[in-house]
Amino acid sequence: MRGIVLISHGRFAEGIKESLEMLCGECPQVSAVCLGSSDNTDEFAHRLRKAYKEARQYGDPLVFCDVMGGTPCNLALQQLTEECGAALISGMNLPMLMTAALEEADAERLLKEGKNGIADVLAQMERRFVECEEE
Amino acid sequence: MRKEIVNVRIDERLIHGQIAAAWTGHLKIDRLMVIDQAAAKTEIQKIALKMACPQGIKLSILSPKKAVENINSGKYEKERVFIVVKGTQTLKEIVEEGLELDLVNVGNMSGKTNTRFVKKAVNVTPEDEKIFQDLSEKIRFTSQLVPADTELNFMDLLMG
Repeated sequence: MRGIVLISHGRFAEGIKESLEMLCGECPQVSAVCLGSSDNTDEFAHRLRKAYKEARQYGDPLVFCDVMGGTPCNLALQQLTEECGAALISGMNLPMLMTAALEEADAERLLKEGKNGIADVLAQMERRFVECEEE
Repeated sequence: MRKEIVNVRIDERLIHGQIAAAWTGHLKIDRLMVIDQAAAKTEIQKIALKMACPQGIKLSILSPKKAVENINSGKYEKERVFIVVKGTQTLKEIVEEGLELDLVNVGNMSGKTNTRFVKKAVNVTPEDEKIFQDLSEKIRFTSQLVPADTELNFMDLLMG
């Protein structure tokens, strides 16, 4: 199990952690660090550093951020370039987080799961194949 | 209980996130079997179930009678099957049809006007309670929403 740190603009990170736990149960290895609209970035960086350090007890941490190039992502980037074994993944969504929480998955696999979870559901209905036994 | 049946769950939502994401991987199943009279007969419900079934997992949507017939004929002998039923009524029906069960997990049963709260996400009607009591002579009931939760003895919670 790897430590997981979720970071975001506003309370997205906290919210998605709650959704994740609804699907996967309690995830003690997951923490959320949110940047509020009036927060000071140094203070956010400090909370991120602390969460990252705590996550390390579960193995090399995975950091997920909401959007590439946003402040949470940029601040994480500055801190993590010094860390070996860390991964920083943008565009976090539940499919990739569920995989990260439930399995030992590398960054490549997490990206794949995250992308697979994005679909035009009604359009996919026509194409998707499920071997289904019916009466 | 036949060895191909790796888990039986009562869950009114049938296939949903907890099952698709957490349980199917955890149990390493080959087949998800939804036993439900209404779903087996309703096209739109079948479409929704197919969409919710994780890729690579086989799906069965069957009435209680057909499901038990298939299982007991050994049709799934080489597979790992996860059975999901919506509520206690269907569970009672499959037992009456002749399916041998010794362990059933109680998942989501939401609150309604005539239910009482048992634990998080589990509420029972007097009819449910009666069925649990009757079946508990042969079946051990557990309560575990997701694999990461501790498995609890459901009858203790119900009677407690």
